[in-house]
This record gives sequence, C-alpha cells and structure tokens, in this order.
Amino acid sequence: MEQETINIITKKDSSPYRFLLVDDSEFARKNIARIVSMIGGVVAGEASTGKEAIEKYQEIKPDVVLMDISMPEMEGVDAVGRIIQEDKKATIIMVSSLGHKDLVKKAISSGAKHFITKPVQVEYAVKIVRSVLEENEEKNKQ
Amino acid sequence: MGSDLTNLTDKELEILKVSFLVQASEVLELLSEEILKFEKSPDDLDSLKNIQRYVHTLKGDSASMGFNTLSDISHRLEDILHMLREEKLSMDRGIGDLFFSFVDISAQILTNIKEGSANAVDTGGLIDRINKFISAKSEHKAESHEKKQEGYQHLTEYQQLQIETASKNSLSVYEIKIVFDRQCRERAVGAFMISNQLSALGEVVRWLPDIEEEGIEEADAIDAIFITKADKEIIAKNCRLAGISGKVDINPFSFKTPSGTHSAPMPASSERDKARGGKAASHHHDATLRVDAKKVDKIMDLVGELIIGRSMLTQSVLELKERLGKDEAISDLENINFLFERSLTELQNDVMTVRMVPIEHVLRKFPRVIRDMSIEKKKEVKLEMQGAETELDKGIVDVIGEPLIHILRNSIDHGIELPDEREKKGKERIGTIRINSYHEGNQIIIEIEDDGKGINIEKLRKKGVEAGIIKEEEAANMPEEEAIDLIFHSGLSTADEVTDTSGRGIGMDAVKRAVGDLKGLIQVRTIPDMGTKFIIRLPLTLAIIQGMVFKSGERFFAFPLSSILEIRRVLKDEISTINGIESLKWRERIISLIRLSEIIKHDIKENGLLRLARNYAADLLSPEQNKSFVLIIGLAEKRLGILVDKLIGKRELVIKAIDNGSSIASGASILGDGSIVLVLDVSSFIKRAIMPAAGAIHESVLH
Amino acid sequence: MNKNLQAVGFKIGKELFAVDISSVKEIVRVPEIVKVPDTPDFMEGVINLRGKIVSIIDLKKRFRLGKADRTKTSRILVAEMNEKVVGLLVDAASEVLKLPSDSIEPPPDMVSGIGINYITGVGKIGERIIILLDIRKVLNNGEWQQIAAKDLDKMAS
Repeated sequence: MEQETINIITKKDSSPYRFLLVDDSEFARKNIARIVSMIGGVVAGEASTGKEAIEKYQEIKPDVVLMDISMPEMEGVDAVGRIIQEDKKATIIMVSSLGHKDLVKKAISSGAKHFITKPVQVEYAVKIVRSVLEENEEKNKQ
Repeated sequence: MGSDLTNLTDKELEILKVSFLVQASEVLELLSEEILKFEKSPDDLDSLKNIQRYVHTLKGDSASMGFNTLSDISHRLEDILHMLREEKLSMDRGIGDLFFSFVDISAQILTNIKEGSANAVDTGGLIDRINKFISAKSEHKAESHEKKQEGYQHLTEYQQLQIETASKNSLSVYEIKIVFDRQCRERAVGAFMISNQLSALGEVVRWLPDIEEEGIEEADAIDAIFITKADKEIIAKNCRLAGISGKVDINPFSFKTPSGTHSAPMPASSERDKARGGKAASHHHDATLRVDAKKVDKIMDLVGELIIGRSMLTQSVLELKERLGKDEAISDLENINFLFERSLTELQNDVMTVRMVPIEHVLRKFPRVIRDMSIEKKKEVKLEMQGAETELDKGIVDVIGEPLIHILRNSIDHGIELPDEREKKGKERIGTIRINSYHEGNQIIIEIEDDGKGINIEKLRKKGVEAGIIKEEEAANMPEEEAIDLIFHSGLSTADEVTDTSGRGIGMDAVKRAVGDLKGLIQVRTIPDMGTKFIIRLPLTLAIIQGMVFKSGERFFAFPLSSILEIRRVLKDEISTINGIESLKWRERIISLIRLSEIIKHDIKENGLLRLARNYAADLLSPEQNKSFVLIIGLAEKRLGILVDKLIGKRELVIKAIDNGSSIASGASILGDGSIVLVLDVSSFIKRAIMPAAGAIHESVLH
Repeated sequence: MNKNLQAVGFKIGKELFAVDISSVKEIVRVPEIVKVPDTPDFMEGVINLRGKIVSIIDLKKRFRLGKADRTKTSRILVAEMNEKVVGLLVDAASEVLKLPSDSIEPPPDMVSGIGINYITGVGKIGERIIILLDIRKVLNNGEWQQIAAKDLDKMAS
C-alpha cells in the first residue's frame, strides 16, 4: 500500500504549496486539483480565463500556477507573459492538449517552467510538478 | 520507465508486463514478415533496416523489463544483422533459418513469461549457431567503426568548420545523446526545452534528428553535437529534465571516433533511420490506447440497450401521434428522438470500429506457414495476398485464424503438386496460393485459392462410401456440389496417406464448425488440375448482425443475413412432397422445407426437425395459402428451406445471448415495438435437422 | 439471537416459499413470454424486461410440482444468479417477510419432492410453514446448461 501513496512535498516551513488552477473546463480543474492534493498542495484559487488568472494571481500570490493553454478571452500564453512581467519568480506550468506544441514553446519562451499534456497522467504530472518545485527550492538555497 | 521498476507496485508491474508482452509479440510478427521479405530480396536495405529496428526494439524493451534472456539473444542477433549490413555476411537460407529460430525461441520466452513458467528456454543452441556465423566471417572487426564515421559525413562543411574552430579555440566538443522519457509526449517541446537549456551553455552544431521536424515525435532519442566551455557534469544536469529526458550520454566528439566510446554504432544508426523514415514500430503506443476487450464489449452491450430503448421510444411516439394527432410537444419529442437516433447510430458505429481490426493480424502468420511447409513438403509455393487491410471484428479475427491456417495447410499439402509434376502438366513449377479478402455488404469474404490439382471428386465419393457416410447408389447420384461437401466430414481425407500436416490440429469438419459458429458460410469450388477455392463469408461483427426477420405463426424469428443464400417466393405448385417432406427444386437440387411455427411447438430433441416436418406437411398445404416465401439457408454445402408466413425484412439486430440451453436459438433481439425476435443459429439448426434421432429419415433427404 | 431474516415470500401451487431478499432484484407482472425452441421444459422462454432479455424458469415445473397456471396473481421474481439475471415464474408473490431467525429450522429430509439441495431451512409464520430456498442453487447444478451442449457434441462427431 505504501508504494501507492505519492510522497507529499511541502515548503521549507512545512506549509503546503498553494496552487492557482487555470482552465476553462471545470472538469479539468477538478482533475488537476486531484493531483495537487496528491502531493499535499492546496488549491488557493481557480480561474477560467487568462484575464481572470492575472487578477487572481495578484490577489492570492500562489506558489504555482497550472495553466491551460487555450482559453477564451485571453490565451494562456499571453497570461504567462503578463504574470511573469509582474512577478519574475512566478512558477507556471502549462497544461496543454496534444498538438499545441507551438503555443507551448511560446509559453516556455515567455517563462513557463514546464508543461504537462492532457489527458493528464497522474504519476507523470506529479513527477513534473515535483521536479519544478524541487528546482525552485534549489534555486532559493543558492 | 527505464530500468526503474523497483518503485512500481505489483499491479503496475503486471500492467507493464502485459503491455510489454502484447508489443513484443506484435514486433515478433512484424519481424517474421520482414525476414521473409528480406529472404526474397536480400538486396533490400530497407528490409534489413526494419529487421534491425525490430530486434533493437525487442532488445531494449526486454532489457528494461529485466527479461535478460530475451535481451541477450536479441543483442547477439544484432551482431549478425550488423555483419549483414556491413556486407560481411550475405543472406541465405541458413541465416533465414537462424532468424526464424530466433523468432521461435523468443516466442517461447514470451509464452513462458506470460504463463509465469519458470522453465528456462534453452538459448544455447541458438547462440552457438550465431557464434559460428560470426567466427566464420569476422576477420575485420576493427573496420566496424567506419559506418560511424560515414554518419558524420552528413555534417555540412560549415558545421565541420564550426567544430574545427572550436577545437582550436580550446572549447570542448561533445556528442550528447539524450533518450526521451517514455511518457514524454510533445517531444518537440521537450527537445525545445533541452535545446534552450543547452543554448545557455554553448552552441549546438546540429541535432539528429532535427528537433524542428515533425519526425521528432517518433524519435526515442536525440543526438547533439555541442560546443561548450562547460564541463560534462553541468551539461548533463542541464539535459536532465523531469518527464522529458531519460538516459543522457555525453562523450567527447571526434571525427574519427576512437573505439570504445562508440562501440555500439547500431542503435545510433537505427535512430537515424527512424528519424528519416518517420514511422517507428516501437512507438505505436504513443498514439494508441490498449483497452481490455471486455470493456469494449461492455460498452457495446450498453449501446445495444440504448438502441433498443430508442427504437421503443420511436414506437411510443408513433402511438402517441396516432392517439393525439398533431401536437407541438409530440413533434418536439420526435425531433429529440431523431437527434438521439443520429448520435446513437454514430456511437454504435464508433464503438464497432473500435473492435475492428484488419484481417492482416491473421494473415501475417501465413507467409511463415507457407515457407515452413513448402520446405517440409518439397514444394514451391508463392503467396499472393489482396485486401489484407480489410477490417473485421476482433472476436472473429481471434477465432478464424486457425481454420484459415488449416485450409492453407490443406492447400499446400493436398492441392499444390510437386514442382516436377506441375512441370509435366505444363504449369509453372511454383504453385500459387491467392488470398483475397474484401467487404461485400455487411459481410467479409475471404477466398483462399490454389492453382493445384483440385479435389478429386470421384475419390471423395469412394471414400465416402468406404467410410460408411453414404451408400454406393447415393454416391453415384450425388451431384458434384454435394459430393465436395464430404471433405467437411470428419474422418475423410483425400490424401492417399495421412500426412503430418493433415493429421495435425483441427480437421476440415472443425473448419466448417468454426465458420458456422461465427454465423458464416463456407463454400468450395474445385476444377481438376486448375485448383481449389474456398470461399468464406463472415459477418463483420458478432454483436450486431444483419438479420432477416420473419414471422412464423405468431412469433418473430431471424436468421443472420450472411447465412441466407436466397429468398424466394414459391407457389404452392412448386412444392412437392417427397418422403412426406415438403420439398422444393432449387438450382438443380431438391431441398427440404421446414415450417418453424409447427416445429417449435414440439420437442425437437426427441423428434428431429425433419420428422416433424413430415408429420405436419400434409396439414399445411392449405388451399388458401398458395404462395409463400422461402429462405434458403446453407451451411457448407448443406441446404435447407424455411417456409415463412410473413417476411418482415432486413434489420440490424443487437444480439443478446440467451443462455438457456437452446442450441438453435443462441440469441435474441428486441424489435422497435418491444417484440422479441429469436435469432436462429444456422449451423445447429441444420445439425438438428439431420440428427440421427430423426430415425427413419436418412441424412440424404437433406439435400 | 433475535435477528430477523428479510425474505420475499411466494407461492407455488399451495406451498409457501421464501428467498432471501438480497437475491431478488424486482418482482414484475408476467409479460408476454416467448418460448425458445429446443430448451428444457421448465425454461418458459424469454421476456423483454425494459430492453434486457431475461430467461424465465417455471419454478413449478422445475420442482416437478406440475405446471404453473398463468393467473392474475402470477408474478416473475427477477433474480440475479451467478451473475446472470433470471426470471422465476411463480403463482403469487408476497410482500417482504420478516422471519425471526430462531423460528427457522434445518430442512427435514424430504419436502414435497423438491431436491433437498435447494432448501436452506423451514420457517414458520403463525401456523403456516414456509420453505426457504437458496436461489443460487436452483440453477447452480446447471443441468440445463449442459443438456444442449452434450447433444450437439454427440452429433458433431
């Protein structure tokens, strides 16, 4: 049984990482919320458009943003640029459907840290989120 | 995934194992095919490359699963392949045999893994043989790195200049090989991220395959020539991205690669082949999903229920309309129902296509069977295949394989003559077996045709008499079409002696039974010295069939359309009573007629269909009913006519198994008005008709 | 030990029977039953139960107590047995009965010719005796499943 649980990852002060989930589909957000809880994080906020994401980011200052690539009003890619502009340390991970590779590349060039492809495979996603967080941790140490 | 299996739960491991087994057996099949191709045209470099790729895939996959025996022999075989590639060996039958032993032993290993058998497969013999080939030919091993060097000749002059300048400026030049994480999708983005990381440290001279190209998604590794000041450790760290890269290999680059660093040129070059060729067999799993067939069946069942529900809804709407006349709510309901119907039909088709696989899955084994058998029988046979891409239900594919192989064996064993004999007859020395598959309506037709000596019908008659299946005078009067049917009788073989081949596995009677079980039909055509043709008709799917629905008495029945040969209108005058049984002349033969309505009232177990038919025939020739429809049904060469009271027509029937012991009605379906239709099984129906319990009525009345 | 056994009671002829409530999915009036040819005589046929085809067993014939008369009170108990849904044709079906478990006794050696295997016990409601059946065992012997198969094998050879 132990093998099935995925280790929880927390900040240095052992408080949980706070996530902002951005996706226009509620179902997708729920799904991703599951992954967040699996690594012991909390969902600090949700947004369903790029514009909303920017506002929410200002408001709650999450540790990590999980951002869908294509959304109404403002595309995820543009939101990435705007968020990074405001907060250079923002940690954004793109969540994209297959076939959006050019957009994902653009998002990464704009400062997104990594990407996860939909349909999200839990273990894989956890692996990526964890590695991004660990890298952040390492950078903070330096 | 890699070799990091220790963190997996038993269940995950099991799932991995299953998917490995499925893939590995697929690769083995493809490999067999490719070996045959290569044997025929040893100059075909593409073929050799494919073989290399398959063996390499097998090696890699089995190694990562920890199945070392398999990865070891694959590795050894790669040596042989390498020598072929270098033209230090040339393809001949000896090597062909060696390849096939490899395939067989690998298959055995897979079986053992699957069954959890602890028995080790003896690979010693195979390895000895491989060693023999190698030691006989490998004098110039040192040259084997030439190939690698050739690879670098692809560098443009500018790139070569870049590298040379870098060396002069005391920058380091590395060759970096990054294997993708198996789970990484969007490899283009992954490669882009790695490339970004590397760009911060230096300059990539070239990527192989080109990371901007479409082919990158198929690649399982990328290879860079990289100029940098950074040291290996930092490079490695920057190449390692979670979820994107797996193993990273960094070696100093040199134009003339020193031995040791690149001691395994083969994987590298096969990677290149993949990038160039685009398709890589080992990456099917990126785009496809393996689903337990049971799950699909479950969905199919539910779709079936939905379809029944919807047709009941239609019926109710119609009734409402009749009762209430024009009404807005009703027309809304009609529209909604119409929408339902459209999406349901689409859903049904989609689910059905999920179950559809090309018949190629079965046919793949044929070339190998022909190769082995023609060697064994000292015959020369070539195979021509057409329509291998024709799709049919997986359930049918799983069952039809063995019967088809049996027919194929039969054709080689009994059909195709020895080369000398063929020459004497003025035929080509090489016999031809032609397999043609195609769709016709809702059926798939598979024809297996040889240009051999044909079936000796006179001999068949004689054998039939000797075996006590028919009487002598019957044999004499039996039309040819019917006499051929004797080959489907168990215990009859036209070969003068029972050979190894015909004695093995299933017989022609089992072939007939298997086809019948699938609600299909098998026919034989033969012309002396011209050849024999088996024609198999099968429904495309088992879950939903095209059925001919009719009424007999007050009940609905249906036969699968695929087993109905003809629907005829008959006049009373055309029906005559022979031996007390209503009979009809049809295409030069006399067939017995049966009325279901009478028969199902009685216990056919004790009486047999035909005796009942005789008992009731007299009463049924009522004067007012002077014409009627007859469905002619057939199994192999047997024919039977079904007199129906009312023909309802062709319907798509969602079959539900009814498991209550009836052999003749194995399934039922529900019509739009909620009525139940019993779907009759032709093969058992005909068996019932000729059952011995019918006593006085001999089989021969069933023409 | 005063637990109650919840059971569905039904009648076959004059006898009262009961089966554990967990094995009965629903009780329905008798719709049109389509006889399937070539089945054992106690297989009454099949019905259309909301789009599902369900085989019907005449329990009276199965227990060799005669043949069920189709009356207004006839019902079909839809039961799930060995992962299959089967309908049992009975002469009448009751509400849910609560049988105090201490009123249930082991079966006597012989009850009305019904195979002893199917009976789990005998209970009492007031003065009336009620026979408790193990519905799974009614079909478990699976004789009817084998009948056809055997016949066909014989013929095929």
